[in-house]
Amino acid sequence: MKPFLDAREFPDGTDVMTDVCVIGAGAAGITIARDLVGSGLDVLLVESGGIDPDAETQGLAGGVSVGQPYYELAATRLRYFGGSTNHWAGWCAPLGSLDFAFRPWVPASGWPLSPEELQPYFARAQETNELASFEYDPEAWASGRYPVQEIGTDVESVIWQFSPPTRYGPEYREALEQAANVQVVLHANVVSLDAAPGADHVHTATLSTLLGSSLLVRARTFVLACGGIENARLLLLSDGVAPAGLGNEHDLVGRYFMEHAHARAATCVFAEPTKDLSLYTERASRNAFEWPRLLSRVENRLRRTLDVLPPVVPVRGGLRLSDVAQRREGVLNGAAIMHAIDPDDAMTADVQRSISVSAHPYDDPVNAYDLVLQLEQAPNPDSRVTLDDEVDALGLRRTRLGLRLGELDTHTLVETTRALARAFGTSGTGSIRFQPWVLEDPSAWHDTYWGSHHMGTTLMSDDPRSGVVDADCRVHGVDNLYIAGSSVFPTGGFVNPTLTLVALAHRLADHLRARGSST
Amino acid sequence: MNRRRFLTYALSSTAGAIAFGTWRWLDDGGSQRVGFVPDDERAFEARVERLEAIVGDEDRAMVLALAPDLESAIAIGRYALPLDPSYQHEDAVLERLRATLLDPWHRASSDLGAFVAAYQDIVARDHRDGRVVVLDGWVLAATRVDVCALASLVHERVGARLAAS
Repeated sequence: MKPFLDAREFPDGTDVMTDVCVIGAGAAGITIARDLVGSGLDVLLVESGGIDPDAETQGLAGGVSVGQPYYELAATRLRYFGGSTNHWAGWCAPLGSLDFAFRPWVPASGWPLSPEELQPYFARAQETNELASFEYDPEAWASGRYPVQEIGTDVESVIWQFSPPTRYGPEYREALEQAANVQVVLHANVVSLDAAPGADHVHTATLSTLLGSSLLVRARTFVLACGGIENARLLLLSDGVAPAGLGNEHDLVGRYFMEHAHARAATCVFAEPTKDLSLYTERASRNAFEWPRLLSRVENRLRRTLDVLPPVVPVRGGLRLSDVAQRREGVLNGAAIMHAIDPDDAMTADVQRSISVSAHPYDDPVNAYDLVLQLEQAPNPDSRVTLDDEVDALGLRRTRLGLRLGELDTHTLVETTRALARAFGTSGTGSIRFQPWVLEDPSAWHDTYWGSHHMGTTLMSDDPRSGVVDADCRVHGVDNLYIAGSSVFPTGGFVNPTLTLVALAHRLADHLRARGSST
Repeated sequence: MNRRRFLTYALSSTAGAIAFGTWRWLDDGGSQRVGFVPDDERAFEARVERLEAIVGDEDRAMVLALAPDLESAIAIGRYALPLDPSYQHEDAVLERLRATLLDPWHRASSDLGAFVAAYQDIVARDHRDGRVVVLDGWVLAATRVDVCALASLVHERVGARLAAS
C-alpha cells in the first residue's frame, strides 16, 4: 500500500508523466480512477484539497452570483478528497427516457445517447453508490405497508433509492492506495491546461499549490472531473493558445448552466385523510428489520460480500406528471416531494372535511402535506458560468455565476402545480392549494431553494456547434481531453445527478481503457 | 385444561378473531364510501329528511346532504360569497345546482346512491374541464363551491340548527 502524495512536498517545477491524468477526486474522478485499476494505464488522480477539508482550499471555490439569488458558491461544493460526496444526501434515481429524448417544446433538449446505452452503466453506478439493484418501478418497492398511490392517468409515482450516502473519499481510499497503477496527489490545484498550437491537443496541465510551488503533468489523456462549475472555469482559464478558452470555439463553454429548483409550490389534503402515504413522506427502509442506519449498512455490506442477496436500501416516492401530460402541457420534467406539515389554518381543515369520504370527517386528523416541486431547468444559453475580474488565492479569475430561469421554467412551475391539482380533483384523491406566490408572482421564485446540483456548462452533443463534448465525453476538436461529471448533461431531468454522472464516469472509464489498449 | 379442551378453545378463539377482524374490515371498508353501499344510502336518506325539516324543501336538503361536514362547507362558502354576486343569492345558487346536478339526476334516476355518485362525477368533470374556483389558494370544483355557498347562505337564514345537523 502506498500513501497519497502531497504536491506541497514536491520541488518547485517538478515534471510528472502519466498515461491518464484525472483532475478532481470527487464522484466522477474517483470512479474513473477505480475503474482504471489494473488497466495497464498509469493514472494520476489530482485533487485540489487534502484528505480533510481546509478553509484556504475551500476558499478557492468562491465566486460571485449575478443571476437568480443563489447560495455562496463555496458552500455548494467541496474541495477535498471525495469532493461533494462528502456532503451529499444520497438521493439516487436515473433519468427517464423522456429526459434523453428531443422534446420540441424544450429548446436544446435531447441527448446523443439513449437510455439503453447507459443502462449497464447505471447498474454499475448502483453498486458504486451502495444501492440495491437497478429497480425504479414504484410497484416493485410497494407493499401493503408502503402502497403506491393511484392519482389518475396524468400522475405517476417515481422512486428514489438512498445511498448510505457513500462518501467516496473514505470508502474508496484504500482501493486507490492499493492500486499499483494509480497515484493520487493531494493539494494540487490545476491552474491551466496547456495546449499545442491549434488547440487540438493538451500536452500538460500546470498545477499550483497554495504554498506557491508548481508542477507540470504530462499525460496522454486528460480528464476534467471538477464539477459543473469548475470544469467550465478551467477550460475558460486555459486560454494560452485559444483566447476564448479551450474547447470554446463556438462560445459554448460555461453556457446552459442548470440547477434543480425546489419550489414549495402547493399544499394538499386527501379525501381519505388517514391514507398511508409513508412511501412518499419518509425514507422507508426496505430492510427486513428496521435497523438503525449503521446496522443497515453492515447488513448490506454482508449481502454484497456474500453476493447472495441484493442490498436493501431506503426508498422514497414522489409524484410526477406522465410523459403524455408533460407533452400536452408543454412543461419540463419535475416531481412533487411530499412533506407532512402541521396546518395552522382553519381553511385546510375545512377543505379536508368538505372533500372527505370518511363517515365521520370531523373526527379525522387533519393531515396536510407540502408539495415541493423538484424541477428540471430549461437549457438556457444565458444561464452561464463566466470569469469574474476578481482573482482567488492562486491568482486565477473567480467564477461569475449567472443562474437564469426563463419563461418555460415559470410555465412549468405553474402548469405542473395546476395539472397536479386537476389530477387530484379528477381522481377524487384530494385537493391542492397553490402557495400564494405561485399564483401572484411565480417568476419571482419566492419560496424556492436549490439542490446544489450543478449541470450543463460543457454540454454533450454530436455537433460541435451545439455542444462542448461528443457522446464519448471528449472535447470537440481536442483529441485527448475528456470531461466527466454533470457538466456534460444536455438536460438535467428532475432527479439528483449523482447516479447519472457516475454511470457516465463508468462509461468513460471503459472508453479510456479501450482507447489505452489500442494505442 | 386437558389437551382436547385446549385445542377446541384455541380453534374457536382463532375463528372468532378472524370473524371479528373480517367484520371490522368490511365495516371499515363500507364506511369509507359515502353513498355507495345500501347502509350508507339509508343514512343519506335519513340525513336528507333531517335537513328538509330545517331548510324547508327537498332540493336544498338533497344538496346540503352532499357535504360530508356541514360546518366546514359553511366556512368554505363564506370564502366564496364575496367572490361573485351570483354566490350571494340563495335562489341563484340553487338554480345553478338544479341545472347541473338535481335536474339531470331526476331525469335519470331516483336512486340516492346514484345522486351521490352523480355529484362525485360532476366534481371530477369540473376539475377535468377546468371549472374550478380558487379559494385562498385551494383549487375546488365549481359545483362543490356552489354546494358550500348554498350551505353558507342557508346557514345565514336558518342559523345554528343547520350546522348542528
